Amino acid sequence: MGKYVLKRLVYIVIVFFVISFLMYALYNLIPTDPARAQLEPMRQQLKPEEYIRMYKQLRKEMGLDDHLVIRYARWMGIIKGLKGKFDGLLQGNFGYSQTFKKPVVQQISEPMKNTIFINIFATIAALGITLPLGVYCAVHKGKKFDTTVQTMSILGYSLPIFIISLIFMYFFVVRWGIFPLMGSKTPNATYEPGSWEAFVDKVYHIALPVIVMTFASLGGMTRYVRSSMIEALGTDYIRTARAKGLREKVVIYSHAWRNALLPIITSILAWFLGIFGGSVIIENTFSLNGMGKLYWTGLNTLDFELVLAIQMFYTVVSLIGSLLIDLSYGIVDPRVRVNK
Amino acid sequence: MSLLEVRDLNTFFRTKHGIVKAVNGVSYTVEAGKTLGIVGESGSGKTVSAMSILQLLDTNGFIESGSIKFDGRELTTLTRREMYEIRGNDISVIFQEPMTSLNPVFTVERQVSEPFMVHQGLSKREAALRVLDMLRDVRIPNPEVVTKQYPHQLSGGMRQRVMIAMALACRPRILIADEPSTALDVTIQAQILKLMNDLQEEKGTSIMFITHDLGVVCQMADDVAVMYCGQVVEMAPARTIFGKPQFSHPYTEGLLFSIPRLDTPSDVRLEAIPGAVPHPLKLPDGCKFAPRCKYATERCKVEEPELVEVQPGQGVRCFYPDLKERRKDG
Amino acid sequence: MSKKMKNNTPKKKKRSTLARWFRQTVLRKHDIDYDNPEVIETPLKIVAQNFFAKKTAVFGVVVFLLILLVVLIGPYFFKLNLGEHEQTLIHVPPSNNMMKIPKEMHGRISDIAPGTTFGIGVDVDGKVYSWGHTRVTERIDLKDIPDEVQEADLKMIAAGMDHAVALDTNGKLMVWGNTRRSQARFTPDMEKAQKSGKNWNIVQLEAGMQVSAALDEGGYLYLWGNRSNFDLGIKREYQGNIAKIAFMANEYISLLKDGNVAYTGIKGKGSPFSKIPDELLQGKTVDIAATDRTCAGLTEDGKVYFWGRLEKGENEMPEIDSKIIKIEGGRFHYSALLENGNVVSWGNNDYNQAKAPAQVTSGGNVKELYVGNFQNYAILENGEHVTWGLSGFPLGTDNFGRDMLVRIINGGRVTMLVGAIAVVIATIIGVILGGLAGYFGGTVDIVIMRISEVVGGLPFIPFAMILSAVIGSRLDPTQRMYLIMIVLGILSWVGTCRLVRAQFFAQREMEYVTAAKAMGIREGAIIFRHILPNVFSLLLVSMTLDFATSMLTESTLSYLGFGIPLPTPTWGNLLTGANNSIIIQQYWWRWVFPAVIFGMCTICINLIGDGLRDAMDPKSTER
Ligand SMILES: Nc1ncnc2c1ncn2[C@@H]1O[C@H](COP(=O)(O)OP(=O)(O)O)[C@@H](O)[C@H]1O
Ligand code: SF4
Ligand SMILES: [Mg+2]
Repeated sequence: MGKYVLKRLVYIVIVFFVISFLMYALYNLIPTDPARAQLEPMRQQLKPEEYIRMYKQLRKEMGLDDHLVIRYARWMGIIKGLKGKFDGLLQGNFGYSQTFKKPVVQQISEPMKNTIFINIFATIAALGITLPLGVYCAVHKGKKFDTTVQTMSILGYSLPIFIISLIFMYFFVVRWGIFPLMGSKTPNATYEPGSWEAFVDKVYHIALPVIVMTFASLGGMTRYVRSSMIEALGTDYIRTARAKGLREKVVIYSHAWRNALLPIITSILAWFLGIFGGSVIIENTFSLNGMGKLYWTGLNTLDFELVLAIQMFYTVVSLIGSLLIDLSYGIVDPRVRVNK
Repeated sequence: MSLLEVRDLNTFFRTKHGIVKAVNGVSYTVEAGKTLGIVGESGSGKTVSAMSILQLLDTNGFIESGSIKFDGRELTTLTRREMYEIRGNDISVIFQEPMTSLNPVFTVERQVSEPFMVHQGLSKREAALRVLDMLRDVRIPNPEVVTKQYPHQLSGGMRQRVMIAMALACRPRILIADEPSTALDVTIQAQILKLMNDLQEEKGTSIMFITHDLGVVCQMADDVAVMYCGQVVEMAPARTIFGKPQFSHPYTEGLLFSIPRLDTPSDVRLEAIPGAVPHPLKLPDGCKFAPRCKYATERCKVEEPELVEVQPGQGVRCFYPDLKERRKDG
Repeated sequence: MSKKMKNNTPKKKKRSTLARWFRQTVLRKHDIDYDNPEVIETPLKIVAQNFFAKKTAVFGVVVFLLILLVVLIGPYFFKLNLGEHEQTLIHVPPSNNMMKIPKEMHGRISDIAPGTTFGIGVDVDGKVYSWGHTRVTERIDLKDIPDEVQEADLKMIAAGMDHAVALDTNGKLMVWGNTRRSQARFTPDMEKAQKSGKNWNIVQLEAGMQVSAALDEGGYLYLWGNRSNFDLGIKREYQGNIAKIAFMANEYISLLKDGNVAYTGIKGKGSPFSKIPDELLQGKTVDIAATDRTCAGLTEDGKVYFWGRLEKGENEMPEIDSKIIKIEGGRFHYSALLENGNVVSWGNNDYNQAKAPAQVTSGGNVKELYVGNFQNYAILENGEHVTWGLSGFPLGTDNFGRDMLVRIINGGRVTMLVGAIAVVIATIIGVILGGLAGYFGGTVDIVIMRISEVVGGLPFIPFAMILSAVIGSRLDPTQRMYLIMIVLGILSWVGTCRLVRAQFFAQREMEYVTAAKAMGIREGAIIFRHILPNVFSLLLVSMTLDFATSMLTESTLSYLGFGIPLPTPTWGNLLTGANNSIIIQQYWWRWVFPAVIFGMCTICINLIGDGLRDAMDPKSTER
């Protein structure tokens, strides 16, 4: 198991560097010239040759003429920065947001909390519903309840999440007035940050988005759990277990379930990533102060240091997700954990 | 009185295209301490008839009619709860595929100890000790190591030994072995068969040995039931069939003709009989074997023969059971 | 099928290798089959049988094909106009009653005032009626006619953009609808005239954008309303000389009693409308009319002269075999009544307003003609009426006054096109990479699988957004559409790649490969031959399902503003901005219709994919 974990870790670190480099390179396709931007105000006062000299000097100081790899390494914090210190992503310097005029780290902290909060909330809620539902349908395969759920679940995974959002908004907000339409907190509220009221208000605001996210993932996940479980229930070792005289409950919940879990775990990763991707849509639709909304704003205002930092956040989330999946896979499946 | 008596068993399956009559009026008996061999081509209903005994049919299958008496007790009318007590305790099963018949995510210990825990109420620790004994009984080397291993760490032969250990854990009175050696290499196959013979001598268990390989039956069985299209076409002591029989079913005759010896590879199937088993939904009228039978007459195509006792202990489902007469006519 | 082929044994030999390959790979029919005494159905046939036995799958196919048909053929009938922007038609709900005169009025019409999306009429008893989409704002509805108007014996009526004016037989002038922008604030001399009755014998009533006019028989013109966007002045010298007026969007012109046309407003200088053709200054003008941006004058000899900003074909008058006796203007079109009792219409035809039906172009029995905005009402000698022009929008309009039906149909075409091409790209990449990985195995396989892991592990939406933003910022809309197709294709080949690779590995284990290898046939060649048929069916399923996914992703990106940019419609960007309570509740047609058709479409594709998967699953055949 130790070796397996180590292997996955090394792999993930490599992938991180590859993706971050690709992203960095991608951003460098954008034609911007910070040196020119900085000199522009002084241009009138300077003689042309002086301007060109200063411009070149500045480009050098800013390291703009260095090779892409060097700039990347500096940005990442693998080699010393221009001020002679390691000062990059790895040291916690995420850059400076032009849109918000403050360091990206400061800008990002609150939305990051919100995004992680709603995603984890939605994941837990969805798992809590889909796992039992899928197993129940598999065990009662072909019965009325099962066919109904199957038909309904097609709705769930066929509709795009923004349409589901609109439908839910129509009923829960416009029709019944249960939840607020948008935002992360009541405007002009007068409670202490961090107080109980603040928390309640937050939950009140994110309830509908979380419900929508949960609902949207029900369909696909239920089907997946169901088919994994049906597959497991049809195997030879389940027949062996029955032939041993085990009670049906033990057969289903111990023998079949442990095996059905394997494909489910793999799909949870794809699904978790889907939820994170979906939260970009949800946050924008519901105007939630989260990473997805910030990302959207950053892309629209071409605030690339901000966007790059958020993109790294998404990458890290997906890598950590995949590591967690690998680990839990290892725990559940002895064929991965124990060598021959 | 026989230990297990199956009488006029009809087991059907509901499918989209109609009712599949997989087992059609089958009767056979298993005597205490003896081995009944059931032979027949793939699809002839051997597995289904055996699984009917333990009510381990797929969800679309059901026992239409018939009686299954185990030690004088009617099994077909048992409740689910009562059936749990029989399975793995009085009657247990070994399946064909050792590769897939063990649960990949549990250790050998866990899987073999389950019968002890459910049927004998042993604690985990007590069961673990008994598991070691059982593994030793089936001649597994290093049982202390193997018991902590997972199925994927074992070879096919070892897995089948584990299966046998698991099946014999509660000293069942009957062991149903559904093609236990078919998937194994020839040498391993021989070892497993020997092991089963030895264990039967040690423990006095009755065995119902299912196979499509007459050669194996010859080696194992006391009595033989030959199945074709969900029916028993011939029922006789092994001595009779493998000796110089006076009476025989043409199907058995064909099977015997193609008998592989132990040294021929196991994947050489019984191909001496021309044609293929008919589709279970398109069974012929009259004798089911008629389309492939070289002795078939007009009568065979319209009228279905009964299983008749041609001599004490031997029954044949054919209008022309006498070998000599038949050969002369044909 | 197989039976037939069996009987034609000699023919079979002539079949080309290509045909045989097709039979073997695509239809999965091997020539050996025909030796078999049993009639063996082709697997494809079984699959089709299973598939069509499933009700949901058949439903999916039928509905999807219907949608596809509409989306493919629809754009030829519902042409998309990207520059479309019609201020007066914003947020019109689904309707088709804009020219539906109430039953009570039939045969008894005495005056009709066509509004933008509605009509107001007076019958011979002087009773008022309204029809069409009369709602102006959330509170104001022109249908709510004040009691005094309803009880009055009306003589004349006019409809503006958001208000209506009525005159009763006693000379009483009444205004309703939106009156917040001075629409009902009469000028002092009007009040005086009304009270005294002097110079108050009104013969013409006009209403425009929050402004109205009333013309006295003696040539006195009264103008009132919102001054901010209309020239409400009258040059002194013309007062008392005016015979008829016509409203453009922000100005008006007059026909004087002396038969000349004049720009009688005070902003005249520099206005294109003040450049009146000489022919109309010869004292021989008999009628005038105006559209939003043009004017037309009719002379005694039946000739029509146009001036102003002639941009929408307002001057493209067809050949006429009779003499025009009356001309009327809508917003962008004209209709004229001829001496022989026929009508002609010309000009902009976006809403069929310039396409008069045969009944009035050759019937020769039109008595009266009412034209305004996008509608025409012709009254025949026998009292019946004929209408043409904008009768409504079956699915309503959006925030630019664009027809939702047109946008949904054209948007569907874009979304499906992008989805389909993205799937093709993804499948090509997937098959090639999967094939390479499966064929070569070893290092190639490991590298490809690592790449696919990385690509499959990327958070899809954010990554697609960034690609679209970074690369797309320098592209024009069409290039951007291609970009989206490529981005979607590049990000979604992973599943196909794994599928193809797995097939390779599965086949490799098969006995026939071992056997063929022993005979010295190259393994790759055999595998390709045997894999294609297997993969073909699996690819069919995965492509159907991927198609749905691609459409979803495209629409999601477009919804977020990182896909196909507006004004090109897609099913995604039609819903952009729909997430506010006003649209959700009041302008429900803006999201319900796109959502319903798009939802139906993806549901159907998934039903089809599901059905295919089930139909191909050998296990499900047994049941
Ligand atoms: N779940 C099922 N549904 C439908 N038919 C079945 C099912 N299980 C078995 N059968 C049919 O029953 C017949 C006998 O099967 P089986 O007993 O497994 O044959 P074998 O003699 O090879 O063990 C076969 O023709 C098979 O098609
Ligand atoms: S009854 Fe006829 S067809 Fe059937 S086995 Fe005997 S001889 Fe052959
Ligand atoms: Mg069997």
